[in-house]
Amino acid sequence: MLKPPIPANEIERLQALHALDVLDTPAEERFDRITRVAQRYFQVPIALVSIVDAQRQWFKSKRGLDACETSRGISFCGHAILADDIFHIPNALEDPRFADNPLVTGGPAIRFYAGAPLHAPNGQRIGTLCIIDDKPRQFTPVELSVLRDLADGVEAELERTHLLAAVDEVARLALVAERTDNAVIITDGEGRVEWVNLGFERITGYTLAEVAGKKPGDVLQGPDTDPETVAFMRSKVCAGAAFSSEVLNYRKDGTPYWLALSIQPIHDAQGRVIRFIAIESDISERKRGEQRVQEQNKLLDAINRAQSQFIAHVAPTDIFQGLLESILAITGSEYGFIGEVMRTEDGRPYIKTHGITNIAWDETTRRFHDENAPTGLEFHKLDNLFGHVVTAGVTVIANDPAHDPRRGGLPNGHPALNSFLGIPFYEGEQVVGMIGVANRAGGYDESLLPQLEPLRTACKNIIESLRLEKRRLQAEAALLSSENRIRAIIDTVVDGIVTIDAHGSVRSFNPAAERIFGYRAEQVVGHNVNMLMPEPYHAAHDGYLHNYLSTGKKMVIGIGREVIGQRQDGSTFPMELAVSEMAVNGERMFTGIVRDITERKQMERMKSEFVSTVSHELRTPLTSIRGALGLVLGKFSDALPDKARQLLDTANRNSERLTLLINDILDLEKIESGRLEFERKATDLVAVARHALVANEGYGQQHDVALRLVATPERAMVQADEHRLLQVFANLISNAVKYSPQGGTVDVALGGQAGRIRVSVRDRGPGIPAEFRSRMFQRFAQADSSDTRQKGGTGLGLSITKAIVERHGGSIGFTSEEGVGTEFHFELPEWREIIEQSSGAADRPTMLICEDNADVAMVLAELLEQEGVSSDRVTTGAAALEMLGRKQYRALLLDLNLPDMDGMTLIQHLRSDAATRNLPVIVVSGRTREDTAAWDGQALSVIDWLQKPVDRERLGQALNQALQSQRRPRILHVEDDTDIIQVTQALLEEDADYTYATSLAAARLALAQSHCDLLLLDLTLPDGSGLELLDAISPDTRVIVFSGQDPGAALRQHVTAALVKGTTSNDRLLATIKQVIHQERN
Amino acid sequence: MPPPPLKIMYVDDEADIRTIVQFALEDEEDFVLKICASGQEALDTVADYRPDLVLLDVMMPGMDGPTALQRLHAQPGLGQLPIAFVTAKVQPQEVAHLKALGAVDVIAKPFDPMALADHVRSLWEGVRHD
Repeated sequence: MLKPPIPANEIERLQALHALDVLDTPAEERFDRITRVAQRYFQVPIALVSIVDAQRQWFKSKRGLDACETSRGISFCGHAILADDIFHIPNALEDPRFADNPLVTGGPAIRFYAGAPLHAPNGQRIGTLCIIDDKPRQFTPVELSVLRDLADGVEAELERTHLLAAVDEVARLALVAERTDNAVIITDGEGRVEWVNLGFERITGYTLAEVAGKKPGDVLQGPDTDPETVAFMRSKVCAGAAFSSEVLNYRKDGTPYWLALSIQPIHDAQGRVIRFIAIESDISERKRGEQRVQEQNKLLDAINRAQSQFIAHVAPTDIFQGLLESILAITGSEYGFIGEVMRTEDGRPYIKTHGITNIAWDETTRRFHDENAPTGLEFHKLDNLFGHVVTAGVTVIANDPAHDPRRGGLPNGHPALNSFLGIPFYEGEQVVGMIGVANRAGGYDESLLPQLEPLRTACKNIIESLRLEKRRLQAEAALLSSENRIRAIIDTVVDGIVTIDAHGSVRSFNPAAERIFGYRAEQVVGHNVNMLMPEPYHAAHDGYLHNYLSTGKKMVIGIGREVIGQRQDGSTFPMELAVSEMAVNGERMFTGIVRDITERKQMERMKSEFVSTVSHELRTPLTSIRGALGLVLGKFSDALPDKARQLLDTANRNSERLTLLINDILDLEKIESGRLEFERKATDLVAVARHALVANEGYGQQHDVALRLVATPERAMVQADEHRLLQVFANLISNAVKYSPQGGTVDVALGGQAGRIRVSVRDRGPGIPAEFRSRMFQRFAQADSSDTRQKGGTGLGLSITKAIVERHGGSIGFTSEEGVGTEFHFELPEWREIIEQSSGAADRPTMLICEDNADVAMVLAELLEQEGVSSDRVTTGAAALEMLGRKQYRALLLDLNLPDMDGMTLIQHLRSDAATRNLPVIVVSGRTREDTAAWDGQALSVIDWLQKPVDRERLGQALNQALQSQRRPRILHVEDDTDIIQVTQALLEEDADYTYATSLAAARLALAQSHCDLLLLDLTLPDGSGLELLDAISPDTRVIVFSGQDPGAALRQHVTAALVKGTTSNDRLLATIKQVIHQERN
Repeated sequence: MPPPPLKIMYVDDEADIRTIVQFALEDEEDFVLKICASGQEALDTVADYRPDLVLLDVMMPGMDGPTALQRLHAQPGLGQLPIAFVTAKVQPQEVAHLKALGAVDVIAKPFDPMALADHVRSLWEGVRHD
């Protein structure tokens, strides 16, 4: 088989082929039509338009063949394109070039082939029109020429492919040019119009006929067209350059419009300009938009200006004048006004102008304007065009005012009114003002309104703000007058009024306070209020305030109480203080009302002295009466007639009652005046109860009533005044006895729970009548006035009992059932040796308070609390030791007067025990340090010795010191011998934070990183002398030289101690270190 | 042989009360009673009378009870003389104050005259045993 040779001009041939853009395109009827004719005419099974490219023959059109391409190597067409003549093979089997061709031996079993070469327009043979038969056949000359003709047809179609594409493109462009909204102008090289599109005609109003041959600029440009832009365009056209520009043109009807144009010159082959194409678009809309934006900006500027003027307190007239001018400019109006709607006293509306155009037309109106415009003109007559805006609350547009039914007539000389626009503005539903403008060229229409909306809003806002401002000023004036009133009250009130802030700093001090304290206000204001208090209040006040602010725990606030005040001259006086809290502008303030109660106190003292004297004076004659009666009845009873004895009995009984009454009155007076003193001590209530039973047994026997103590615990400790408790028992027991039936029993029982001890006294008497129960504890209250005589008693007992119980922090009550009996009971807080703080202490330091007076212990605990320290409280030395054994405390606050041992003994005990040897102790005592000077020398290591009452500040310092000293000392050992380090570390680890450095450099680093209390220093180090470190340590770091050599006397002055290795025992080293650290602490 | 009678001196400016005390105690066979109307009288007679126990009123014109107590105790050999006050000043701190002055007891007025003798006896028992 002979492969078709590649022609010599193959490259050009392929170029021509590709230029046709025919390869691999879809089948087209114009080619199929020809192959169909060829197939039919030559009566062959196969007719093809075959295009031969580098590797294959591809069929643009095919009849009778499924394949769309075959390899060029086996193709017949590959041979056919080698010459211009038709290539034909009558019988392939007989032709050695094809006999073994697979297309011959296999499908489609070619026997006959005839292919007419197809030429590209430049003559290159790019393929064939070929016919194929599976039978051998001869080809006649006529057939050859027909095939050639058909091939020519194919060639024509191939050529037309390009033309068709070009025409399609042109048609599309033409359509674009024609249909575009833009104007398209084509001119000749001189700039004369050759063609314009529909867009041009639509935009300009000119037809092609009207502009053909003319220069577009001559037709379109007009008076407002910018000459510079025109000059620029001309120069570009002359230079034959492309350019873009924006220019104002005029339509045929004379209306201007903005256009953006871009002009492109078209050159011929020689580079000469032969045409210009101009594409123009109408940008009037955009230009209008830009203008609108500018106007809006002006509008916003006007509004902004008005608002900032308002904020800057520019006079409203000036603000509105500015706004009015903007409105006039925007609407193109001649004159106008902006006014606020006001009301006369009888409620009729009128307009007061804030801004108005001066339209004065003669001397009178000019003067009127000048005089009134600054404060505003007032229009009271509203039955006119602008009045309608206000009265009807609507926008009024009147473009023919003269004939408008709403017109009201103009004064003589008033400028002509050709058109009017009135716009109201509202606050809610109510018209608060209006804008009125007049004489716009062409009149007003609603389209203006949206544009004016921002101005209207601005006017409305400013008027609203002005009104608010006015109201605020009025309110301020009202406030001022009310403030003046209050000020007058404060200045004249008899009570001192002092306000302080949350820091305790005085903010105000009224004249009465000046009088009371003897300071002038300016001497006090700004200073701490504690200057008005003597100690201990002086020192404690900040604490109270701080405590209240942080815990809300009230000492005085909202309660009112009697305290001591201090005058400027240092004298003190009793005062009643009531403190209330208030918030002023978000700031917490306290108002203290102070009343000097010196006189009242004096009166009270006089009264109580009087009561005391009277009772004493009463006792003396009573002693004689009672004595006389007692003696008569005791010694001469037998000699007396019965009636005489009965009468003397009565007298004697009543003299006894009178004695009790005097006692009770005295007690009650003292309780009420708060002067009843209690000596509260830890007391076993069980013992008191036993004692009381014994003491009242006789009384019981008199009434034939047995007393029983039932249900008591072993011990029931309370903190109480035993004598007063006996009084309570006596009272309750005697009451119970009195009301018990003969032969009855009174049961006294003790019990307790939840830290309270309960005592009950129970009788089996008639019970208390229900209606009387509410008055049980009132003075002189007995169920039946006859009771007093029948049962004896003063009627004061229960009041006194209640007062005593309450003063012990207890409570009293009763239950009673008529016919069954009555039980009185009272409860007292249990006194415990140990009170452990239950919660919140985990992350805070805890201290132990050892103080037998529960009240004092409580105050101390509160003070500690304020310093962020938790505390447990114990009341005995034994309990203190127990707790110290059980828990770790940072310090002990110790009262020296303990019920079970002396405080000093306790300290000694602590110091002798290794576990508590270093426990910081703060003594809180009534005893001064001097009282116990004897103990001082014994190194008790007491941090401070605080006198009661405790100075809070000093306590705080002592606490800090205690917390500090609890810290383990930090020791840095600078030493290069690791054996020595090991030994020393083992020695010191237990008592100190021990670190070491084996070189100067490491030591410097360690010293820079953390403070050390003690530097243990070797002098000979690998990188220098240890002495070099002396400059690097802080002044409070102690230095012990521990080295192989004695540092010498000169150096000894600079260190705390010096020890020589080898000659110093471990014990001595340790002792020295401890001693040095101890020195540091003290 | 009965023990020698207890020599009691009672000092009070109130004549009525002196009478009551005299009546209350005079019949007691184990008592010998000397009644004085003022502190001064007590001071004047104490050396001669040599009482075992003095009962002293507090509020007296001229020399009050506490002064009298001090002066009695200041007498030679009488530093330990047991003195009890008999007074209408019976409030606890008053009692405490009086005891602090060195009184062995404070007997409240008004007292029960029929119980006075027993009270004095038990007081004396207490004093004697101290």
